[in-house]
Amino acid sequence: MIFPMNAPMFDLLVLAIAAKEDAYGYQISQIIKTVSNTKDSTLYPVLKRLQEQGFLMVYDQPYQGRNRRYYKLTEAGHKHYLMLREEWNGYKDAVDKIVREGGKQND
Amino acid sequence: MTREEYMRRLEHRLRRLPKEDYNKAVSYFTEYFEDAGPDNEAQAIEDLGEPEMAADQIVREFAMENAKEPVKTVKRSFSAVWIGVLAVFAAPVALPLALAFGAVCLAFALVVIAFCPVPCHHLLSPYQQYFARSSSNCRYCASSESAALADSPSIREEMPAFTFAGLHGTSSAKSL
Repeated sequence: MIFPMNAPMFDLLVLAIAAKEDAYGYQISQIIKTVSNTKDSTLYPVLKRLQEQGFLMVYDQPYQGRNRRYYKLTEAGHKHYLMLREEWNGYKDAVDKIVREGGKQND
Repeated sequence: MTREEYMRRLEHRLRRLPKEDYNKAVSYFTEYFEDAGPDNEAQAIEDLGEPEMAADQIVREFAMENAKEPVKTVKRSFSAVWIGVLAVFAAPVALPLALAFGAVCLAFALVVIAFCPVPCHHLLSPYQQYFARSSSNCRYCASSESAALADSPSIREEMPAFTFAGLHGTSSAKSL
């Protein structure tokens, strides 16, 4: 991917993944990897920050004799996710309009 | 690098974090390796990136988060300051280097400006002379303005009177 990842994009992707179903760190990393070549260690500070902002909560579940930490969307997190998704849709459409049609207005 | 080596380097770099933050970070990376599985250890190390870089990111994030929150205990506040200092050092080396280089350049420029005489009419074009109203710092003619003017009759003839008036004030205009 030549397009860079930024913080809001990270937030949107992580929240979108958790909105679908509760997810664990490695799993989220594997999904993010398909659109970004940032190092996987970058995800930890993002997850931590989203928890501190009250958008994600964590719980542990035993898995093969060890703990797996799952990230779950909170209500505030869901609101934030919808807001970011709205922003992204507007941005995506505007960029796409330029990419496809050179930004010309079609009446 | 093995998984053990990776964790050792990561833990070493995180050792100044408060116990709780340290444990959370370490267990995240441990879990990552567990989920990747022993067969994918090399890939996991590659995907995670350098352990020092990973640790520095966590320390920086901690320092920023801590700067926002009011500090609860003296111990925590000391720890926060210490981590802040470490975070500065953990920032990419280019930043402090660039700051130092900039400071040296600025100092050099200031010294040059401070010790250089303001250019006088010996060095300026007639147009510039009009704007150069002060000649008090001029090494060549501050002592004797009129003598300097008298030394250059050709310039005096070529230039309109207002230029000289502007340059050395009304007194030198009179001397014309």
